[in-house]
Amino acid sequence: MKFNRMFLFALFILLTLALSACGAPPATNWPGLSTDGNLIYLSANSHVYLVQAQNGTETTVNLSGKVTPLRFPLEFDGRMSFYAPVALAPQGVFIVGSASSTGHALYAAQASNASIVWAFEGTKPWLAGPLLLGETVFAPAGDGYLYAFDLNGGKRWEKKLSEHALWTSPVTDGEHLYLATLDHMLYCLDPQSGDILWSKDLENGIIGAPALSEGVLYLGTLSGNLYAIQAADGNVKWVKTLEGSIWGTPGLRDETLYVGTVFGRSGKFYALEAATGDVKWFRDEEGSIVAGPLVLDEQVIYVTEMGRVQSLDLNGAPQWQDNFEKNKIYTPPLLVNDMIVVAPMGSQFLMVAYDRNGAKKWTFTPAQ
Amino acid sequence: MWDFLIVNPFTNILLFIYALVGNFGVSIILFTILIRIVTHPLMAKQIKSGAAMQELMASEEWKKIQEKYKNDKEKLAQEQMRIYQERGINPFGSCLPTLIQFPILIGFYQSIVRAISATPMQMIELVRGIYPWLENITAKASLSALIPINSQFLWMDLGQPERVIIPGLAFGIPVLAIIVGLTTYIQTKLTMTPSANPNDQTAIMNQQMSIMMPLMLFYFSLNFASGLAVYFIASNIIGILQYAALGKVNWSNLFGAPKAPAAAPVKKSGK
Repeated sequence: MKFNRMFLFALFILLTLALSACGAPPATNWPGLSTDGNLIYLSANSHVYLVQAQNGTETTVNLSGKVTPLRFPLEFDGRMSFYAPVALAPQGVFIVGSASSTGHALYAAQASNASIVWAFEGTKPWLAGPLLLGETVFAPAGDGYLYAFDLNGGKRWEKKLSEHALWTSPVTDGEHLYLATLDHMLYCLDPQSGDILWSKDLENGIIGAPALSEGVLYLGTLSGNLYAIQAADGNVKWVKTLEGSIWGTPGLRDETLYVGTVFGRSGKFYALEAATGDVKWFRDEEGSIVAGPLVLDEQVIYVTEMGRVQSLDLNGAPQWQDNFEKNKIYTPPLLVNDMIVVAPMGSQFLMVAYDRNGAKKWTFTPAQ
Repeated sequence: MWDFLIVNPFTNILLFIYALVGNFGVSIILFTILIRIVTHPLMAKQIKSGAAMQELMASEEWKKIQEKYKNDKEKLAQEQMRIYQERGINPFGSCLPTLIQFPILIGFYQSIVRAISATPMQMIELVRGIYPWLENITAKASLSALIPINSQFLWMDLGQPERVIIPGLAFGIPVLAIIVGLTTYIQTKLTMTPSANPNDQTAIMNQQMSIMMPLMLFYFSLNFASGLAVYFIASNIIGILQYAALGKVNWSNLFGAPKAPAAAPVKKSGK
C-alpha cells in the first residue's frame, strides 16, 4: 500500500517534471533591457530589476524599516512576468506589460518605490516593449491591437493590426508610427488617431522592429529578405536576400547596415551598403544571431545563441570577444553611458557590463 | 537526437496537416487520431496481455502457489515463470507497449508546444525545424504561408490556457480543463480491468490511478496552452473508442461496482 502510494506520487512528480520541462512554458522569452543612464531596467521573468548602471548593484528601498531590493513587483506575484524592455516616462515612471499566461496587465510603475501608478487590464500577454512619443504611450499587445494611452493611463485609441500577437515595438520619426507584424505587414500610422496611413505586405513574418534613418525603414523577414522602404509612402527602395532568417533590428552607421541571421544552428553577420543593399563583407558565426547589433563609432558588437559576445571593427576585423559557454544570448546589447551591457540566459549572471575594450566592469546577480 | 527523430518530424506532420486543413485545432485532433491509429497494434497487444495477466492472477493455480510458497520467494518466482511459460504469457507484455507509446506521446506533446510558439524565443526552433521541401508538396506549407500559425480554435487561443469569462464573475471558468479531467476519469474507469480481489495491489493501484491521472491532466490543462487540452480530450475520446472496438470497455465500472472476472481454468499453451 505504502509502496503504491509512493510509486504513484513519484510517477506524478516525474510526469509533471517531464511535461513541464520538455516544452517551454507559454510566456518564456528573452530578457528586455532599457536605461535612463542612471538605472538599467532589466525585464527578466518574474521581475523588472532596477540596477545601478555605475556598479551593477540593485537599488534598495526602505519599506517600513525593512531594506528591500527595489524591483517590480517588490514581492513575487505569479500573475506577473516581464520580458519586454520598459518605456521610460517622465517623473520616474516606467511602463511595461506582463507576459504571464495568467496576468495580462500593462503597468505604469514608479521607479523610486516600485508602486503601481496605473494599470490597464489586457486579455493576452504583452511581449513587445511600449514606445513613448510626447505624452502618449503606444503599447503593442498580445491581442493584436496597438493601444495608445495618455500618461495617466487613459486610453486614447486602439487599433487592431493583426490576428496574431504583436511582438515588435513601434518606431517613430516624431511624426508617424511604424509597426511590423508577424503576419507579414508593415504599417505606418498616425499617432494622433491610429489611422493607417499606408501598409505594405512583405510576404513573410517580421520579428525585429525596423531601423529608421533619414526617411528610410530597414527591416528583415524570417525568409531572410532585408528591405529598405521609403517611410513616406511604403515603396520598396531595395530588397536583398541574405542567407538565413532575420530576427533582429538592423544597426546603422555611416551609410552601412549591420545585421545578423539565423542560418540553421549557425549564423552570418553582414555589413551592407545602406543605399543599395550590396554586401560589403560578411562573417560566419558558429551560433545563430537573433538579436540586432550595437553599432558604435569604432566597433560593432553582436551576440550569438552560443553565448558569444563579439566585437568587430567597422571593416569586420575581430576586436574582442567573450564567451558564456552553455548560455544563450538573444537580447540586443545595450550602450549604457560608456559601457556595453549584455543579458545572457541561463547564466549565473543576469547582466554583464564591459568597457569598450571588452574588459568586464561588473556582473549582476539578483539579491536573494 | 530526440529532437531530430521525434519532435521535428512530428512538428512537420502537424504543420503539414495544418497547411491542408487550415485550422490548428482540427490539425491537433487529426494528428491525435493518426498517432492513435499508428500505435493501435501496440495498444491492442497491451490490452490483450493485461487481460491475460488478470485472468492468470484470478486463477486457482496462481493463488495456490502464492499461498504455498509465500515464505520462499525464489521458489515462488520459479513457479510463476513456469506458469507464464505454460500459458504463453509474457509478464512484460503489457508494459512494453506502454513504454513504446510513452515517448511518442511526449514527443507529440512537445511538437504541439513548438508549433504553437507563444513567444519569439519558442519560434526560433519552429522556424529552424520546418522542412524546406514541404513547400514542394503544397505552397500552403511554405514558411511564409505557415508563419504565423492561426492559433484560434472555437472560442480559444490554443497558445494560451483557456478560461471562459462569465460577466459578473471575477475569475474565468477553465471549461476545457474540466472536460479534460472528466474525460480522463471516464476513460480510466471504463478501461480499468476489474480485479478478482478489490484489496489486491493492482486494484488499489487502479483506484488511485483513476483519481490521480484526471487530477494531473486537469492541472496541466489549467496551466499550459489549451492546444494541449484539445489533444488530451481528443486522445481520451479516441482511447475509449479503441477500447470499445476491442470489446474491452467496462461500463459497469462507471455506473456501478466493478464486476470481478471469474477465475479461469488453466489453459495449456499447446506444448
